[in-house]
Amino acid sequence: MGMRLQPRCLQLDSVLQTVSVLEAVIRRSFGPDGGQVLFTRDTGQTLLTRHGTRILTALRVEHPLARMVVECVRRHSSVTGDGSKTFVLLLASLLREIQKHTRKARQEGAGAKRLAEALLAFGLDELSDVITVAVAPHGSSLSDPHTPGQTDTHTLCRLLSAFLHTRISPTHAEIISQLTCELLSHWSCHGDFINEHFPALHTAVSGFPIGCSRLLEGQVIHADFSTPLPLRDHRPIRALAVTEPLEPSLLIDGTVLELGGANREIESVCVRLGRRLDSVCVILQHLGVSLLLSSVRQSEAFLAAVGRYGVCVLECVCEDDLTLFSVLKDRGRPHSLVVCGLTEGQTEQSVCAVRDALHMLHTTWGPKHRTRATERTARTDVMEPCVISVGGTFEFLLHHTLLQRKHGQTHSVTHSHTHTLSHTDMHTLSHTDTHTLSHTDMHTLSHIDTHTPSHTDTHTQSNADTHTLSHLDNPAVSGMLAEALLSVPRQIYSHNPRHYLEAHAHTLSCMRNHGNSTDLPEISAVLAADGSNMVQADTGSGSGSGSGVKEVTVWSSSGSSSGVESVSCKYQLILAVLQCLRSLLSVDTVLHANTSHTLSHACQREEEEGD
Amino acid sequence: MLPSIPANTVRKVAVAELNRYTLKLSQCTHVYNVFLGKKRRAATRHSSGIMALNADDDDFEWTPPSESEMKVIHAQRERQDKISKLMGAYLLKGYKMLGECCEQCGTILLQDKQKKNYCVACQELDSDVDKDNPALNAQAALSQVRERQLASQPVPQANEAPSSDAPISITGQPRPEHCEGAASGLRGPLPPPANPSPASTVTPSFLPPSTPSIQPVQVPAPLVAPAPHPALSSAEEVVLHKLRWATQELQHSASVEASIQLCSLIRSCADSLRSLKELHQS
Repeated sequence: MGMRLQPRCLQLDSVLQTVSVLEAVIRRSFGPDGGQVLFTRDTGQTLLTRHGTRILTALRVEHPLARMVVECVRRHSSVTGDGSKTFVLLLASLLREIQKHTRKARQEGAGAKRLAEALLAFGLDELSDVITVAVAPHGSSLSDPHTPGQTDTHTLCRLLSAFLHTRISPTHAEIISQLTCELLSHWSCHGDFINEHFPALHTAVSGFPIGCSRLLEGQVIHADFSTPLPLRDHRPIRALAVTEPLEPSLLIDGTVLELGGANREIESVCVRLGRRLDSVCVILQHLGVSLLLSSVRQSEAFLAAVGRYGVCVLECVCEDDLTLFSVLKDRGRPHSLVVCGLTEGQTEQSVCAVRDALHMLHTTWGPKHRTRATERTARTDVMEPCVISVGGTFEFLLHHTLLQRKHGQTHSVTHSHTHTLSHTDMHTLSHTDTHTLSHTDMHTLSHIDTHTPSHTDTHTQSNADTHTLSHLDNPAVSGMLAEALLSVPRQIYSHNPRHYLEAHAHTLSCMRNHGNSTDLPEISAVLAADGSNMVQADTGSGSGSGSGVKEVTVWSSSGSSSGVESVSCKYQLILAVLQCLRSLLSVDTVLHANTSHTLSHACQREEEEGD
Repeated sequence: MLPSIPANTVRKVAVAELNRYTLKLSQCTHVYNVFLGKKRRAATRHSSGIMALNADDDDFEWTPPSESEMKVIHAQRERQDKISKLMGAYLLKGYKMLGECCEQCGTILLQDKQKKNYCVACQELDSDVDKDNPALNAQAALSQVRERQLASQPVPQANEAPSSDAPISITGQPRPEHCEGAASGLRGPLPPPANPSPASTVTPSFLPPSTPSIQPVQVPAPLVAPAPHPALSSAEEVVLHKLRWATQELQHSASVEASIQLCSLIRSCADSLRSLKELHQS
């Protein structure tokens, strides 16, 4: 079969359309007021879900770019456990920003690629600093203030509860989050441990209401007894874990034994084999083993033999259970989670939600495992386990900080045209304390300028080639990211624009009260600007800074007991989106090869079987 | 649908710029975008007289788009949003997103379970306009003729108070008559019966002349609504007809099964009427 190649240049419009379609699919399920999607199969099975990855992977998509995006989302979600819908929203809004900026460029494609590279560079190099400086002070730490190294249980519960509310229905979420908190508190010093061994540490039981879920002391081994367990008093039991058939291989069913010589040979062989079996049992008895955990099937003869010696056998125990069993011997009393649900689908949802919650906690706590292979070394590794309140606070804070950076950098860029101080200004400014950076007053900037000429000669040459691409784009980059971030809270409050404005005003007043930046725009101005983007809500309460702040603080007190979300997860999400964006825009041409028809059918069949 | 740009400008720009750049203009929207960009660029270049070697310099020479360009951009964006929403809905219904684009408009093609390709933009968005065009659609033509007929007749008011009575001129009320049972519950409260005035300025109330003496029903509350959509009114006619037939069958039906089915038919007719009415009012 010949290949018909149809090279087609990739345009930003088609990329944007692809991502917009995916965004339209998940948009209605986003946020606390989001709806659920009901999936039905031809077999009659139904599944009700709000999980972005689930929805996206269930769609039938053959478009290569869309498949790429869905794959990125799936991988991101498998690592961090959260943020699949936010991923698509951010990706779509960043693409729109890039389209806006490249409308004026000469070559749309090259401009977009360059901007995507600049965005990724910004994300890898500078974003973590921006977040640590600007956003982290408004959040709270996950570690206990009194005992560093331990987790603050209350914050942990809020974090888990907020997360699980986005996945399972509120009543169920309460139960499950309580149980998960308890489980974590039992394993308090071994956070990673639960994440690693979660498949063995939980049991899913269908057919019972979710209120029957509980924590059991001990490890649950998911296998049945092959020989009856003899009743014994409560002495400690010795158990042996084996991964091979203990029996001499000649007695396995199906083997053909060819003997030569006289007829009596057969009997003697059998007798000899039987004696070997007995010796194995004697060894077991000698060791005092009364429970045998085997990951493979043992033969009938062996089972009969050990039964005579009073040893109980569990067959076909899965590898995870055995690993946990062998690891647990040093850890004291283990606890495992039993999750119940009325249907299989419901149970599976709850289990997935808990598993993703653990992934999310792992991302929040542990910077050790984060390695990103990129051409620039990422200074992303160390970020404090920090949480911030839900409802778009992170996005608002980051938005305003980035806008301030953008204004600061734009002024210095116009300076650089006259003073030819190319990259150095950016570098010095970005490291300056935020107090002085925020003063966009021309006098202050010129003051800074006069102090930097000494650095010009040493730094310009070295940094020129690597950073000439990005230095003029930096204000654009910050601006783009700032605007794109606002799409998330807008979508969260899409049912209630007034709440959006209130949340925005609240965040601004927090920033102001924090005292860091004194040049924040007036609340009324921000609300007016933002209100024109959202439906015109009644901004009467927001105008006039004095009354505005008072009104806003009333709202905030009701929100103080609401959930929190992890800052590291958000940061990872932004990085993942920027990388996906870069890969999307670095595709130049799509070649359609018709031979893939049979392959795609085969893949589809595999996917359907695997579901 | 591309909005109109003065043809001269486009031609001048095209000639000037195509001499300088070689571009592969395969699709209409792409052509439009490129032309827009070129037009602006040509304008700035000619006016400022600087050869921009570096694309970065354009950042500072960029003039914000004019009013008409903004409108065009907004319209484009809205259209794209509508397309994305429709495609998203189809994907959730089980359609497959293909890797190919439509040849006419460049939108991504969808494929349904019967392996039939479907372009959302060509078949749904643009056909909204064609539906009302009497030259293209026979149904639309018939409805238009009917409208004119009814507008010229004096409105026959028997004991019912149709929508044309109220001093606020009601245009385009759905035909309310002759529905029993479920349908009547959907209607609003009966408006005060005023004396029937054959107001010539009021658009017809769509009373079909063929309706015999069936009991009067409630009329929807008088509203100010836009002119009736011919497709909607014909749809309502048909649904009402079916409703009438179903009620008659129900009266004469003897079996329980058939009655249940007829009742569900009546219920779905009522639901369709309700949504048609909402469409009218929106």
